[in-house]
Amino acid sequence: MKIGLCVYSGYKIYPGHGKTMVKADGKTFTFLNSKCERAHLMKRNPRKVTWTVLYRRKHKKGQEEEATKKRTRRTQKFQRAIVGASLNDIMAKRNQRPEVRKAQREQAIRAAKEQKKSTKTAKKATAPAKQVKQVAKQKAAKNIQKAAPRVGGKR
Amino acid sequence: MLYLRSLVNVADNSGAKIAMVIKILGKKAGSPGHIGDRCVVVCKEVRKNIATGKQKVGKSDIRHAIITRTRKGASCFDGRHIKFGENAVVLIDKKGFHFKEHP
Repeated sequence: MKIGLCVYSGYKIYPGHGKTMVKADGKTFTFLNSKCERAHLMKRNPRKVTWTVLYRRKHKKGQEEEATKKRTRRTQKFQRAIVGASLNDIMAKRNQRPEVRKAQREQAIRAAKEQKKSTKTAKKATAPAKQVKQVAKQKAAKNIQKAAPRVGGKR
Repeated sequence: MLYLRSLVNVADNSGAKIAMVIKILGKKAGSPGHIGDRCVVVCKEVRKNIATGKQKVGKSDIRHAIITRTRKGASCFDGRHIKFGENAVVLIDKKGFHFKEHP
């Protein structure tokens, strides 16, 4: 028992139903009922007729959307050399161990602190009075700004 | 459904192209001929045999034929219905054998 498919609508044709039409050029068409047959003879395109399976497939009606959307393409990251550093330098920096990094950081911090200390002592020796006045002025300016309320209410 | 004076295609290599039905055999007068019925036809159009130059079937020859395809179609006992895009016959000799150009 063979269950055919209607050429026009796409529905199943059970035995005992439907009509087969063989055209003069040899093409065979199987229709489920006279509705499909008449539509075909009227040269109505099934892809434009809303209730046919071909239309639904073309306009992606139904559950097929969910399956296709889940897949998204991801671009792969590609490490390139920059003008300042070659690929090897970049990779070496990346693959540095965390302990080594920490030690490097601490060294740098210590060096910076020492530099600051030396500059500070040098400055204090030259002009201590000016610095104090500047600090006092800044504080006064800040106080005034804080006291005044905002104009216009809430933003 | 073929009647008197129905024009049909000849679907074999006998040389005839189009035939006209004169009589449907084995049925009441005036009743149509369906697929599988024997009939008498007149050859209206004939193809020329380019190779040999002879013609086995000439124009206005009267021959028997069997109806093979009709636009009306046929229904089978299992419920299938089939119909064709043209009316066609196959020429036979009076004994009932297929009338072929080359045996």
